[in-house]
Amino acid sequence: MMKVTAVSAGLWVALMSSSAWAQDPAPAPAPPTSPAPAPAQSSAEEVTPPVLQKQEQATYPKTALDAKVEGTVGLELTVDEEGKVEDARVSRSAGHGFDEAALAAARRFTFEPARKNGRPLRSVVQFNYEFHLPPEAATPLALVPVPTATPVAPATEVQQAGADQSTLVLAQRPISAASSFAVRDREFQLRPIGSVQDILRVTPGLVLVQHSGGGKANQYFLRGFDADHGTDLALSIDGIPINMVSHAHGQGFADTNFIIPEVVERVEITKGPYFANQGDFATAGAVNMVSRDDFEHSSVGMGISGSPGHGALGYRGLLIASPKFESGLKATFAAEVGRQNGPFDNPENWDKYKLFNKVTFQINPTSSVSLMEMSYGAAWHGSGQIPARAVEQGLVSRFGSIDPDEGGYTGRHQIGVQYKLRPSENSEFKALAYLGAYRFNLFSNFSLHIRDPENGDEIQQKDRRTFYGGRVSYRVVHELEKVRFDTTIGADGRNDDIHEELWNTVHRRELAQVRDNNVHETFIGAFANEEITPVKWLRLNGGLRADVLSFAVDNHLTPPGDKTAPTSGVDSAHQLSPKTSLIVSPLQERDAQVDLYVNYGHGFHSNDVRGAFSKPSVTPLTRAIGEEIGTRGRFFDRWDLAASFWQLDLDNETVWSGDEGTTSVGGATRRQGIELETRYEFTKWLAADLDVTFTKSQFKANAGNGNGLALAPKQTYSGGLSARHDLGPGVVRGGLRFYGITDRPANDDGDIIAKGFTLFDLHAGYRLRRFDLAFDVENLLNQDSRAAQFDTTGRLRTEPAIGAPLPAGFNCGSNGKLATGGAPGSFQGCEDVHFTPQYPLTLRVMATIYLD
Amino acid sequence: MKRFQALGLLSIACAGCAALSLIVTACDTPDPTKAVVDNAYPELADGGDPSTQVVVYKAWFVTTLFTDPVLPAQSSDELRSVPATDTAYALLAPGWDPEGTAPPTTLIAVQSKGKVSVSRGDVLHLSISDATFTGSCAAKQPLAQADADFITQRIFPGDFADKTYDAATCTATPIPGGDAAADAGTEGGAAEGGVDAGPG
Repeated sequence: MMKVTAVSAGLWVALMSSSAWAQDPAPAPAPPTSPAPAPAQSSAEEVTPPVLQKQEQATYPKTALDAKVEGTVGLELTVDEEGKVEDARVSRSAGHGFDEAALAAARRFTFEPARKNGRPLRSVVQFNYEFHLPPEAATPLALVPVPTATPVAPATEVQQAGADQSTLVLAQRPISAASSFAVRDREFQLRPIGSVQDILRVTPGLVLVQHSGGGKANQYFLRGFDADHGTDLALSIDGIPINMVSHAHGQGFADTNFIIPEVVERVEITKGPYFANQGDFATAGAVNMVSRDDFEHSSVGMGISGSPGHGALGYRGLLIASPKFESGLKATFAAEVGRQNGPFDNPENWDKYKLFNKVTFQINPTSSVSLMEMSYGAAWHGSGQIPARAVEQGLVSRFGSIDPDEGGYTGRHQIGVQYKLRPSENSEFKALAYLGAYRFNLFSNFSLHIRDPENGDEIQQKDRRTFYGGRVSYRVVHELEKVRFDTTIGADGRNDDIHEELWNTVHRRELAQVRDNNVHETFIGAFANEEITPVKWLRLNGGLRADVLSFAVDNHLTPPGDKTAPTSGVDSAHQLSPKTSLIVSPLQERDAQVDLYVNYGHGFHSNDVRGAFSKPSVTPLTRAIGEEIGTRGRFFDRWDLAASFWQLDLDNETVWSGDEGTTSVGGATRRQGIELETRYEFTKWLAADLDVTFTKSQFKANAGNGNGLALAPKQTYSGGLSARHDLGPGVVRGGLRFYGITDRPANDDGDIIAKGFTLFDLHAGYRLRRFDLAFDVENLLNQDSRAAQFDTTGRLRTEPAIGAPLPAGFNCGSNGKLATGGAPGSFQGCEDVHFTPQYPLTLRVMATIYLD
Repeated sequence: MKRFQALGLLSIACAGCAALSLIVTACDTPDPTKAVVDNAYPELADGGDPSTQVVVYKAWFVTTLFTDPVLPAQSSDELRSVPATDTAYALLAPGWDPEGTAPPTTLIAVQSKGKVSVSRGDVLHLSISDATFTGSCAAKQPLAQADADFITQRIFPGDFADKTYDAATCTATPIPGGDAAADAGTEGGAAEGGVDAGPG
């Protein structure tokens, strides 16, 4: 019988005291952990790590044995208060059956549990489980914990944003705002995931809706913002920004379609402008997706989706190759191809490909470098936003189209390199550099037949750009007289070289050029953050961020008589953004851990810099000032609860209206809201969660409309049940979820309503050895509701000509009204809700075969 | 536990059934609905006089505008449309040579004699002739004035800006004081068109 020569080396038995570890929840460098036997924390002597008492020997996989292959499996074990292994997962796969063998053995381990002040704690342990061929087989299985032990709070699936999983643990750690946290893939694997947008829905209070064809960015609603494509929500992947500054279609345009959802390992979420390491667009919040270094298995997947009775089937193919290497090298290659048609009468024909490549090399025990590459190309037809009255009149169905030529094509290609270094036991250095190329052609028709009653109002927006940038940060933790200081300094920069055009078109044929700009935009930011922990129950955080924006606009074309067209020019702007937080932890008992937060911070979003040279001009940077008070707690080791009350002031609601190619300037606004989040684990395999938000948004100055602010969401909610359980020889998982938004005003006057909706989704999946089947039902109740909605003044071709006498009895439908202006009694278009319909009941099946 | 396993297996079975139903419904075509204009007026004989041909100058169906002229016996490009049942509209340019540089001097508003229909994924052929479209005074099928106004003022307003169109004579007349009145070519064309495309 072959003996297993498995040698384990625990990397980090990481136990951290929430009071001892004061960290910034933003995507920041991992807090340094001390590998020394005596941790740096003042409370180290009060905490003991778990000690392995009983180890089980793994069976050497026959396939690996036959192939004479050795391997090392990284394991992450959750050890309960009794010392039993509650959960085990592979953090670094070795393939060849090693993973399963190591897991099977590790699940039978028993520990002397971690203790804090003598009280047993739940903890998370990371090990390497090594398999060696004979003659080394004579070596007995050993499990050697790393010589470090760091205090920790009870482990949960929720972890601090910005945590570096290569060195830290799955554990709920101190965070700096009640609304900041991270979600691991284990959570969103229990939800219907057809795209990255579905992953983003794990963000409490964030509602996304599809907008005019799948190839476009989504509409994001968060904290009272209708963040049109992302203006007030900073999105990034591995720290590389997704938002596009001065985009031809809209400022901050954030198209996440280039990301293969399976490569996202976790999502780091923060809300509010309280985090010094976040800059542009992080006003309502910021979401950073972290990609995997590798996969447990290589795999091939194929899926189909469709809405019975509507449209045609779509398909999706996915290949993931994650070869296993010795010597600290990890590599992943993923490719996705697909076509999606949607339920529309005008099929989307959304063809796309996506590539993801990532190689991570552990240079030595203290440093690593990752090289990432992503590519995406797509072409599609959109159905636009159709007037509600056109559906009422039977002109088109709710899945119809007024201009079937809408749509476009886009591509994004980016590379990035990330370097991590731990110069000492209590410090860390991180550097990121990236370079990308992007193109975007969008054909839209918003007002239909007002501007050009003959050819229609179809426009084309072109955006060609290269963007590059980087970020460096250094973090060090030290103690002075038992006061812990956690210091982070850093800088980031970004440059965009943009060429943009706006055309009037018909059938995607260019008729007349309206805009032709070159834009050069450079951001440079620097930040410093100090978190002081004078006593275990108190943390003080202070940060300062400085940003400088310099830009140049070269306008090649100004149509005669166009007084709003941007001119050429060079300018700059800057902002200092102070941040501060106070965190009190009055309860840290086994059955009740409670943190209280008070946050204050300044942030900003940039505006399209072409607006700086338009009439009226637009300020390049809009300051945001946020305040928040909240609490986050965990009770009885199964009930998570968070509540926050926040307020956010914006200096102005200035946006670049890429849809029309003009700038618009709004007044100062104030948003106030309450967010409630809760999650309850009924059993180890069944959990429920519920998030509810209430928001009041208004202009500070009353324009005679009660300070009304169009499209600002008032209430959002989401929740559901999630389950994962052994079933027969495999594991079944599932989730029943709902999310929705209530009615909200579509215009500032509030007399046109964007109707709310509540949708239910169902997910079921089964994993059996090398086979996985996932089944999703979206819009389970097949409700007729509207996704993206806008108050738009438009004219159908069959409606009276602009300026013509209004026919007797003419109206703009049940939800619309006659647009004002022009001669009395003349027709000036209809102001109505133009909407993209929610998908009807949609089924999606994805089958995956694991190859190694 | 057994009950749970049974529920789980039932769920998986349901998933399988749903997948099968998806495959069954895969017969739905993903092809877009399209429309094409077929000019069914007689083709000009070799060496024939172009002034006798009837060109389809523009056409419109629900969401789809045909902007390129279509010669007799020829068809337009296929354009994307949507499933619908509605009236189709067109402008005829009798005696116009699209190869020339001059715009048409005469435009006649016509509409389909009945509603035309296209289903999802199909190609609608709008066959335009005196047999299928009404409005040609030459064919003694004048439109009601209200229908003609609808076509000239809403569907194709650009071609009749500052003009009035008389459905009985198929002539467009510049509105006094309108921009078109100053456009001698258009004015003359309209008048000439009235002669060419009139009842005669």
